[in-house]
Amino acid sequence: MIKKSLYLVLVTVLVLPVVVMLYLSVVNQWSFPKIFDVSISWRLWADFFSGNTSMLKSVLLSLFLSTIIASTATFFGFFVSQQLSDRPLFIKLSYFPYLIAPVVFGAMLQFYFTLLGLTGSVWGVLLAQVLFVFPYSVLLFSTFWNESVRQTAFQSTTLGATTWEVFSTVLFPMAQPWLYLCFLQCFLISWYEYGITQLIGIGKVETLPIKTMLFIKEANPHLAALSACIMVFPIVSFLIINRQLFAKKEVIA
Amino acid sequence: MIKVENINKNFGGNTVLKNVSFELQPNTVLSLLGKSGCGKTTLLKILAGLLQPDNGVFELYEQDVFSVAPQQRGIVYLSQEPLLFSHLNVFENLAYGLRIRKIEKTLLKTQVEELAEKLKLQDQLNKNTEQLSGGQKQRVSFGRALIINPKIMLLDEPFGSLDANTRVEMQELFLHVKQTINMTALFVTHDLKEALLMGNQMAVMNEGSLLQYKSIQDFSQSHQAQIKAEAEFWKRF
Repeated sequence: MIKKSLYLVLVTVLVLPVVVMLYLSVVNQWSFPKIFDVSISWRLWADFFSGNTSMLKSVLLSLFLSTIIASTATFFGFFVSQQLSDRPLFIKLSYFPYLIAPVVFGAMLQFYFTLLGLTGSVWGVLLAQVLFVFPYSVLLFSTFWNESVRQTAFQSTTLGATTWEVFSTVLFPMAQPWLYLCFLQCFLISWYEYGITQLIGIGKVETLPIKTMLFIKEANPHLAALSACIMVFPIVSFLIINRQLFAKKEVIA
Repeated sequence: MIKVENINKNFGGNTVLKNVSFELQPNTVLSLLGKSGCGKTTLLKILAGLLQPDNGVFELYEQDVFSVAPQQRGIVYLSQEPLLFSHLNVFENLAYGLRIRKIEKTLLKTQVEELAEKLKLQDQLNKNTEQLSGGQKQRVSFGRALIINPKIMLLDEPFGSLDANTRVEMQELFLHVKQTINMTALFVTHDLKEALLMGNQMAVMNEGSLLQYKSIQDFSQSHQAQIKAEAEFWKRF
């Protein structure tokens, strides 16, 4: 009974903010304390999907950046962590970006990015976010490269596999859960990233978090709510994909 | 003829292998006996290509092996852990070396099934590796190496992690396979009885130096005290 109640409280705590956001995105002229005395309109959603607002552009930009950043960080993180797996100092150094706030990290980069003429550009934001996300990927994959994996790879080599075959037939399939998790985490870090994008993008690169903050600053709760609802979308998608993947694995097992 | 001459290896100033030399006739098993940390595993890893020696010669039928890439040597290294490919089932684990060599599907299936029968794995072919017992895993690992017909098998205490009964079972299987196929192997163990049981030739390794005996009798004579002590121990029961 207690377990069930706790579960219910947890679900409510997690779901309620999303429900509130959804509600705010479809009501007109909502003002406290008239919480439910409002008219419902799907106008903001219709405008978003029709592309009449700049929000769709922000979503596509965020999608583009997060996908490229997550793919790059996952791909290179996998190989770099292999090279660094017996160099603990470099692995420890990978914690550095996460010991300081992203804004501080962005401020540290800003000087060099200004010198290189990268501030205010999409490519500048992309590079800055890769620099922030990449060490996370290295850290995550460092847990994969243990002695057993190295020995298994060597076993495959002595059985006649070339380097490419060792990766394609042994290491990539073995690392599949890590690759998936790394991509997902890197995507989400980038998707929600605000501080670095604000500093390096200097307001010219309007990703979804930047746009959401703009709506909040403008005191426009309806557009901010719509924007927040869209921001939650990747997590919901990943949860559904995850659930289906696990269900499939259970069936196979 | 397999010839190893004057292999040396140092790790950070510590000498691990000192002028290691031995000869191995084709279709024979050389048992290499030695305590933990005496350099046995380092020697096997050097022969397999996982480590580079500081110097020395390794010839296989008068051909230099050190200049050949590990995947082209035809030398399979088997460690104490079976190290199966967890994403593949038993059939695919056994077939791995053949798939790499792009062997035709029907032939591949026949070879895997024949080997599985020899190793008493015919009922396990569709299972995931996690579903196997320790002995079965070791058999799959052994079969995965055997199927490619390697020039030499380097067995690094392959039964070391098994319980007493499974170990005996695996020793019997190894002897049976050794008799049915022409196997050339270097069998590393720290167990005197196992060394005598598995090998046609004997060598002992101590603090990085290797001494090869001309025959099992030579070995028995120089290790009489040790063998007697082992025999006396078993007489007590």
